[in-house]
This record gives sequence, C-alpha cells and structure tokens, in this order.
Amino acid sequence: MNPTLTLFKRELGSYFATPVAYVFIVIFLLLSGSFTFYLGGFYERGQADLEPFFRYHPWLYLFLVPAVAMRLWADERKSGTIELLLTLPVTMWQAVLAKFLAAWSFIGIALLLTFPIWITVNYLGDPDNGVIFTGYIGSLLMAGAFLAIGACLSAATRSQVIAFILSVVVCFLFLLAGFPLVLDVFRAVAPQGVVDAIAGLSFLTHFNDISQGVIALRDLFYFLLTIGFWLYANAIVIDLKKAD
Amino acid sequence: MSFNRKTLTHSTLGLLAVLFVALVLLSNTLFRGTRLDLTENSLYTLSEGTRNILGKLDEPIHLSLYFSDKATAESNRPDVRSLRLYFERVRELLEEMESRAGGKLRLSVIDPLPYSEAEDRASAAGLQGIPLGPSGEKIFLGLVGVNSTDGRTAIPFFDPGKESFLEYDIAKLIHGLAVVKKPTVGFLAGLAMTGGFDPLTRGMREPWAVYRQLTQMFEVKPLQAANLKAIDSEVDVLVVVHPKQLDEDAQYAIDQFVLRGGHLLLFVDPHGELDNSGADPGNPMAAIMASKASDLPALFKAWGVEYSADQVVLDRAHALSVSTSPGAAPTRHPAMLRFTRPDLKRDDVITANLDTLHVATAGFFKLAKDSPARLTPLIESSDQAMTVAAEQVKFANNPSSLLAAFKASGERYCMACRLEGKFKTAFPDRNDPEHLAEAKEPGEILLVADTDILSDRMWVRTQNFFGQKLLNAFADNGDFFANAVDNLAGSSDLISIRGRGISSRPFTKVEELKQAADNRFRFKEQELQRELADTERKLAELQSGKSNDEKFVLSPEQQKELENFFKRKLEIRKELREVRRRLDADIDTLGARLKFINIGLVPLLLTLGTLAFLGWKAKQRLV
Repeated sequence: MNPTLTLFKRELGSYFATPVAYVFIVIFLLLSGSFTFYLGGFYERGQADLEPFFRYHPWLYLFLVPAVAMRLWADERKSGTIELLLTLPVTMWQAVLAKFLAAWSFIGIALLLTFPIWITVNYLGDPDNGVIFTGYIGSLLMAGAFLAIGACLSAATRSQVIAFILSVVVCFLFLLAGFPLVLDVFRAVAPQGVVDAIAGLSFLTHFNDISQGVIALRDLFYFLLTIGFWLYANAIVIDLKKAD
Repeated sequence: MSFNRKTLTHSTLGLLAVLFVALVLLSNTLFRGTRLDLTENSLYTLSEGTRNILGKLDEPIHLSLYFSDKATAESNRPDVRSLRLYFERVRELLEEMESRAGGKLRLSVIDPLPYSEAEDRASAAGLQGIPLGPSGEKIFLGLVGVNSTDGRTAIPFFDPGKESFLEYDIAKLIHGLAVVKKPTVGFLAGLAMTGGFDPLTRGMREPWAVYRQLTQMFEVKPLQAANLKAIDSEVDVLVVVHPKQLDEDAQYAIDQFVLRGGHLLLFVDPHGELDNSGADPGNPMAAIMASKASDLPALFKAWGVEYSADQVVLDRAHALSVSTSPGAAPTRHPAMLRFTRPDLKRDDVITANLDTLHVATAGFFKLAKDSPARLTPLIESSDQAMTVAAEQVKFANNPSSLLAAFKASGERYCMACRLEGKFKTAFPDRNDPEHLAEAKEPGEILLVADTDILSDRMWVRTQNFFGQKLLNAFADNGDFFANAVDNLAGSSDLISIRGRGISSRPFTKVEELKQAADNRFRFKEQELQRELADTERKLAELQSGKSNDEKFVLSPEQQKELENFFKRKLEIRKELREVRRRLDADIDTLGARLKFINIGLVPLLLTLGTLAFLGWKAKQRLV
C-alpha cells in the first residue's frame, strides 16, 4: 500500500483512540451552534441561509485548528518519535502530507457533523443549497490553510503550548491582513504595492467570496497555494531541526 | 557547516515567502473572472440577456470606469475599504463584458486625482463625487459610456448596496448606447404621477418612482386626455393609467392605436386609492364619496374581456399584514395582497424574475363568453378568494370586518393578464379617414386591474446615500412595470437580466405557524362578534317590552344579560390573548427545539456513543 495512505490511516485512527478528539468535536459543535443561534441570531433573522453559521468559522478555527495542529510535530519531537518516524520507509514529504491530510480529514469530519443546521435551514425555508455547498467548501479550505500554518509552526518547536500560541498569532495576522490593524504596520515601512499585496492575503476576503456561492479560481488557488507553501516550509523546518 | 545549512534553509524560507506573495498577486490578476457560480440564480454569471446585448453591438462603445484609487488607498475607513472591494467587482464584471463583446466594447479605468483634468471630466459627465477622502476629497466610482455618434450616458455612482442590480445597470447603459433611438412611450394617466404643482398642498409633488424610471428608460410623451384625438405613429408603446371618463375621441384614439398594431399597457382600478377626485379642502366628505374607479367598458367589450369596475378581489391566502393606526397591532388586510415567487408566473418574461409584488384593492379580468381572444394571467389570486363591492372595502374602517364576512368562492381571479387576439373596433359607426374596423394582424394588450401597484408606498422607499437619493425597493412592483413596458417595446434581452435584486428567502415554516394562529384568532374574534350581536339583540328585545318610564332603567333581566355578556367577553378576550400567546410560544418552542438539535443533540449523541463504546471495550477486556 502507498506509504502516505498507510500513515494517513494510522494518524487518523490515532485521533479517535483518545477522548481528546471527541472533546474537540463536541466543543466545535457546541461553539458553532451557539455562535450561529446566539451571536448570529439565525432564528430571529428569519432568512433561509447559513450566513450566520459561516460568519464565525474563521474565528472558531483561529483557536480550534491550532489546538489540533500543535501536537502534529511538537509532540513527536519532544518524545523523540520523530526520528523513528523518519526512519520508516516514508519520505519526509509523505510524512508531512499524511499527517496534514489526517488532521484535515479530522476537521472535515467535525464540519460534516454540523449537518443538522443544513437540515434545519431546509426545513425552515427554501435556501440556496448551492451557496451552502460553496460555504462548506470555503470553510474546509480555510481550515486547511489554518492547519498548514499550525503544522509548520508545530514543527518549529518542541513545546505544544508555544506551537499553539505561535499558530494563533500567525493565523490571526492572515485573518486580519487587509484590515487597518495589520496594514498600518506595513504602511509605515513598505510601498503601496506591498501593502495592497498584503491586503490580498487575507483569509477573510477569499473566504467571503467563496461563501457567497462563487468558487473563483483565484480564491481556490489562494487557499491551495497557502496550504502548499506552509507544508513545504513544514518539510524544510523538519529537515532543519532534524539535526537539533 | 551547521551554520551554513541553517542560513541556507532560512534564506530558502525567505525566498519561499516572497514567491508565495508573488504567486498570490499573480493569480489575483491571472485568474480574474474564471469562476464557478453555484448560486441558484447564477447571480454572478453574465446572463443570456447581457450576452445577447453584447453580441448584437455593431458600433464600438467606449466605457470609462472612474475610481479614485490613490485617494482611497490610504484610507482606514471601513466604508472606503468596502468601496475598494466593490470597485474590483465592478471592474471584473466590465472586463468580463469586454471580453464577450467581440472587440466592440472598450474599457478604460481612470483614476480622477483631485484637481486633475480627469476629475473635471468625471464631474462634467455627471459622475457623483462623494467626500470620503482623507481630507474630504471627492471619491468617484462611476461609469461613463460613449458611443460612436457621441451619445453619452453615465452611472453616477455604483452603490455597493445595489450589487445585485450591477449587471442590469451596466447592461442597461450599454443597451441605451447601442440603440441610438430610445423607444417612445405615450403616457396617459388619470393620476398625478408625473409630479408638478399640487393645488391641495400648494407644494411641488414628486413624480412617482415608476414614472422617473420610465423617463430614464424611454422617450416619454405625456398625453392629455382632454384633447386626445389620435395617437402619434411614432409612439411605440402606449401606457394608460386609471382612465376616468375618457371622451369618445380619446377612447377611439386608443382603439385605433391597438388596431394599428400598437402596444398597449392598461391599468384600470375599481378603487384607485391615490385617486383624489372630488378633493375639496372645504368639504372632506366630497373626496370620500367620489368614485375612485376607472373603466373602459366599450373597449373591453370590443376586445372580448369582462371587467367590473365596482368589484374588488379579496384574497385570504395573500393578505398583507397592515397597521390600521399607529401603535395598533397589525391586522391582515384581504384587499392588500402580496404575491411572492411561487405565485408569479415563471414562464413569462415580465414576472419570471420577480420576487414580490404588492397590489391593493385590485379588480379582475375574465374572458367574455364566445370571445375569440386568448387571456394569459400574469397575476392571479389564490383559490381562497372572493369579490366584494368596492364600496364595502372603501368604507370598511377595519380590515377584520372584511375577513369576518369572508367566504371563498373557490375561483381564482386574474388581476393582470396578457390579452392576445385579432381585435375589432369598439366604434364601428365612425368613418374617420384611415378608420380601421379590425386589426390586420393579431395583437397583444397587457391589462392590469390595479393602479396602486404603481404607487411608491407599495414598493419603494427613497433613501439618502451620502446626499444622493437612492431608491430602496422592498417589492418588485417597479420592475413589473418596467418589464411590461420594456417587453412591449420589444427589447426582451434587458428583461432577462432584471429582477435578480431581492433574494429574500424567509422561513416559510414560521410563516405557516403564524398563518395558522391567525386563522384561530380570527375564528375566536368572530365568535366574540357574534355573541356581541346576540346580546345586543336580546337587550333590544327586552327593551321593547318596557313602558316609557322604564326605558332608561335596566330591568333585572337586561342587567343579567349584560353581565353575562361582559363575562363572556372577558372570557373570549382571554382566549384571544391565549391564542396570541400560544402563537409566540409555538414559534419560541420551534426555535428552542432547533437550537437544541443544532447545539446539543449531536454532541450529546457523540458523548453517549463514546461512553458506550468505551464501556463495551472495557467489558471486552474483562472477558
């Protein structure tokens, strides 16, 4: 069997071997449901769409995804199993990819378990299911981007806590790029072209476009590129730290 | 060695970061416009109508998109940031159109810097600068289109709140430039739709929004009923609203216009609420008593259609909730109707893309017996409908009195329709030169049995956006009117783009609950009314048996009857409150149940499942 697939299965299985995974899923579902109904006013709004549901996903992921990602490599490095892993007949790339895909699938499962909201909105009215579908796709892609950042930073440190904090900070910057808070910092030191480029890096802008029902090639490309870039960086960092 | 390796890796990472930003930037430009639109109505894809208009261009059109790029780049204001994003959307749409026009559409993007020549040009073309810049500079986001014959039109400012009409607005501008001559619309109205001086208020009246829309889209030629002898041959579409007591010449002019193959859009009404005939400041009763009906009996008869100018359609299923007085709870008004997407004809270009239509005190049309014409309804009542005399609606001070006597006839009433046929004249005895006794070709007329449908209060609110007057539509009545005229003027391409705007998708389930509770409430209310009438009758009976001296004193029986009634009244009032309370409770319960299912149910099941699994596993281990 393909070593990536084998490793992927082992990793995904390991999530469900401990109660931590269930706790994560339960927290995710409780929070996403509460945000939708209480902060987003889903029921009181009276509109058959899932805008209040997807609106809070970036903020939910900001804390929950780094929590999933922090143990990906930091744990292996701390316990020393990373050497063992890399002596297995898998290339570094396969290991990085397998771990990432397993974690991504795990978040995907959590996302899938929000299906009652989709049934609810179809029960209450006549929503545009195309828009809901792209909302889920966008949410999954954004989770992937968060996760890739988290995975890379998890490889950079032995401490899960530091990995978590670093990931939250970097993800927060990616989320807010395009907002004055971030742009002002860069405006002081960089030319307008760079500032505009940074504004184009915001997760929020790309996610909002997709969750409106349009999958633009550039938004898709953006998320895949972000995932690819951070995974590549992940591999480089492991390679670098292997010697430590 | 290690140092070299580290430096190398760090610089690789740095390089990678630069490459990443560069690729994102490149993809933003490279993949512009390539997208998969999964919305139900393909909101973000050029519609066929736009593609047709672009495909039909034979003279080059030049579009200049003005946007204050530099002036907004530094701004931290959220509204300016969102304006920058909206500019991207506008530019992408225009680029998409440019690529589909086979070279006939040229786009340039201009940044009108403050105090520059470009800024002067933008202002001269009618673009609206909004003072949003860092030191109050004017910010432009508008479009100017020029055709080869120096025709020029502009969109003064792209309002981000009107995004769903973006494609239509631009396509309309292009279409207007492509067709050099706008169709001419003859306009004959028995209502004060065109604005002007109001002798009653001694102030200037605003023209109705539908009329303003009409003048933007067409060459409008207002006609005077008093001296109307014939309709000019240059008139492509004739719009007649609320024709009251037209003399024979005017009716004959309409008759011959139709027989010549002219396109007619006619609005009549059994009770035109904005008809102020009889208005007399000295005598308010005169206005109340005056007839508000309009009719063209001779013409309807000749066309083979029946219309009763004194009958209004009531419809329980489409009744709107209205407030009869400030602060009062809204009541359902069976003569004020709302039609939504499922009620409107989907296969007719006029109504296909509409979401909501409001009509008030409408009449209805029916095909006359043995009529050779063909009638296709556009707006039709539900089968929970009946008709009543217009007078009854006029003098009903409370809409619930109309519902109390409601009895559905089971028939569906057609309030707007297309009428097709080879029409005959209503004036066979006239022998004017060029008199036509019968149309040469089959023709088509659009008939609407309501004039209130056109009034602003039924569909639009005027809003101030940065000092600019913008129409904020809450129903599609304006689109209905514009579609109808447009359709008759022969440009159906534009119609297919319109009406994407309001995509409200309400919770139908909650509406159903409200409707059910409302019916229960109505039933209880009627019970109360019946008992009140009953008591009054009994009191009157007791009263009649009394001598003159006793007339002003209540007898013990009367006293008892009254007490009984008050007791019963209190009971029913309590029941009514209970019905209302139960409705709120029903809605709240549904909400609470859905909250539980969405927030708690899956986590709960998951926890139980996990515990069960762990338990089972532990048991296995013991065995």
